[in-house]
Amino acid sequence: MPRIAMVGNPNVGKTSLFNRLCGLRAKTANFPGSTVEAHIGKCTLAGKPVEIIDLPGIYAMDLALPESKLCRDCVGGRLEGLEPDALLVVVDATNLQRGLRFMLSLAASRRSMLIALTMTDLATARGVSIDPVKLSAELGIPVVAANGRSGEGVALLAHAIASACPVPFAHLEAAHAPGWIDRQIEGSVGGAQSIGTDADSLADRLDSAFTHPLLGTLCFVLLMIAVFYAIFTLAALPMDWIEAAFAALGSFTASTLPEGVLNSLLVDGIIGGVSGTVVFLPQIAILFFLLALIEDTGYLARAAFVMDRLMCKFGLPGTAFIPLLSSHACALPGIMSARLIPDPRDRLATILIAPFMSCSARVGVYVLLVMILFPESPFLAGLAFAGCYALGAIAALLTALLFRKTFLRGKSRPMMLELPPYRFPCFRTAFYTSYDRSVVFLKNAGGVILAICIVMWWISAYPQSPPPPQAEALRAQAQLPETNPEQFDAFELEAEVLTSRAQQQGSYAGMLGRSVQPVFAPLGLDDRLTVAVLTSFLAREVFRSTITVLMETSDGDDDDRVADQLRKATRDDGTPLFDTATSASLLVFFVLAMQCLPTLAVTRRETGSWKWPAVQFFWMSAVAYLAAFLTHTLIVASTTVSGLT
Amino acid sequence: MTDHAPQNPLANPALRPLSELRRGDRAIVRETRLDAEHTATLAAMGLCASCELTICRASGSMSPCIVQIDATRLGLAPEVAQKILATIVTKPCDCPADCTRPQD
Repeated sequence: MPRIAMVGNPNVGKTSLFNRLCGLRAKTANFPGSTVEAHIGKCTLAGKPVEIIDLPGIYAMDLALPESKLCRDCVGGRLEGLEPDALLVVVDATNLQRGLRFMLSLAASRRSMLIALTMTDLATARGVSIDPVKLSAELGIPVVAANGRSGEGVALLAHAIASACPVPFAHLEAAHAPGWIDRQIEGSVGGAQSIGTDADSLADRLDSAFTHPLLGTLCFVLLMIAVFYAIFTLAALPMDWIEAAFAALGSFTASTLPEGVLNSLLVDGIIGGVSGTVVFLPQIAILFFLLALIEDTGYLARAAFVMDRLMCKFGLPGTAFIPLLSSHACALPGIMSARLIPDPRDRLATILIAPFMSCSARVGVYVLLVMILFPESPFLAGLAFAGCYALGAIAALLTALLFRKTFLRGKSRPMMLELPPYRFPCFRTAFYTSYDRSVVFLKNAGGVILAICIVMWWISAYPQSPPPPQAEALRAQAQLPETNPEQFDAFELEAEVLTSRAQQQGSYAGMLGRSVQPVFAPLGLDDRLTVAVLTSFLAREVFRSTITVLMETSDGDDDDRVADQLRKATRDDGTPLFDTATSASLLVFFVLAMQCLPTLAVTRRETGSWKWPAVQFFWMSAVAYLAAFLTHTLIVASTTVSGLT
Repeated sequence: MTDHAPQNPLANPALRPLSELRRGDRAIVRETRLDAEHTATLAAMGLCASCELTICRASGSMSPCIVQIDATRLGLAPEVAQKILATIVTKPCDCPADCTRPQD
């Protein structure tokens, strides 16, 4: 099967052309030691099967960038199993000189090539009419005008690829003469000088607004708020469906299989664990769809331009703002969207700090602890809630500054950003981008995350503890003839809580909690809170359900009732468990700690190593512990001083 | 560009960094004082010696600028704009830039 490698500058419409040719029959390929990826698709063109490799957009082959290296290796035939038979060079008609210069740099490889000329409509609108036939005659290689967005010319291009038209570029020596490219352009188009004249007045006006220091920042913040509002509202329903589907699957499995290890593994370990990750799929799909649309309009580059000023103070590029903001919905899409950042150090720093941003999974814990802290003052509760978000963002930016001055030291790539022309977005490209990211996410959920869920299930389920005598007594009481249905439910529920608590305390996770408790004692945590904190390292939302089981309170949607019950919980010495110091230190801990295994798994995938999730985990845990300890100590000290006076 | 001794802009008052140019100014790039990697990246993007550009958004002391070269618009960090020296022109340059050649 012939293999064609698509190469071209960024923003020339290469991906939309690839999507037109291959559609959903494409897969993303990562390469060892690199986060750069290419897309590989198979298609049938004019009745012939063809494999197409969509390489990342680059400005030049010889730059010291991972994208350029990948293209060099592919074009040079150094990627095993991916040596191309021909090159499809995608050239932007509005920027013909740069495109042809790039084509010449590829010609040295002596591979057969053909040119796909894109953006011809935009060039025409700017007063440049290009004749692909003339250009083809000038260059001596096939040139086909094709538009991946509208599909115009794609059939002709497919025919050119399939009919093995590509030939090696024959004018290599002549092409190095001064002004050669200009002569080719002049021989093929209506006049290169007319490019970029009065047709840019709209772009000028839009740029004036979108790149203005204040107005541009305001536009960007408003747009991002709209994006996140859309994510939360649009994703809510499909998330409910996914939860319901997994719940139904769990119930079906539980009722179909006999009780035992396999039942528990499937229901509690695999289905329960994977559903906790897959439930975020709608958020991820919608975020990437919207980001792809925004990027396609040409606006995203302007947003990066505006934010660069702020972010560079913390050693980050302007584009880092998007992953960090996305992480407020969920760190998983946030980390995945860090691929927008071209510099590897900038990208790594952004990935490492993204989980500091308060994600939606933290909200439930924040609400509970803030209500325990400020039961009578909604104003203070609101202030504390906002403070949690601010604390996470400040910790992220300061961490970025520290990392960039220490082990991620090195000159950042200063902003040299192409601002692509404004265009109406292509929904087809956005859909394919979203689909591609979603598939990557699901593969991750089915691999590392599944393995982690099984391990966590095992340490929580074993060794198995028998139900405590009180639970047995309650169940026996429930079976008595004089027990009415309401009492039956209450007895059964209480027995279930006691059994769960006994299992939790007797499990390896529980044993670990008790042995680790002295470490958490300076934060004010007893053994029950320690177990709750440890189990929430799987996912922070687990804290609420664990703590309600351990405190023998009933979980429910009513935050007020749960908070009220927890506020009454006492330690062994009778003092309140959730005193101000402990509640505040717990809140600070949850703002800053890395308590999400799926996030660690995604970090591992995006960085290609377990080293960086380890750095992320230990750094965030250390910061969280220290900040929580300081919070507890200061509140205890101030309470003692005020008590003395 | 980087292989040659840089000209001192004070010695040639017409030579000014892009960061000092105003919106609407047209200029011809004469020299860059960036490292080889950044110079090569800019050249690949279309900004090289002898190319003519227009300032679309002027650079402040801490703010980036936008320049247009043919149909390409580039956003440049202030530290980049400060190291690109150009002369303001009143008519279009008649010596087309060739970004594939070593620049001086």
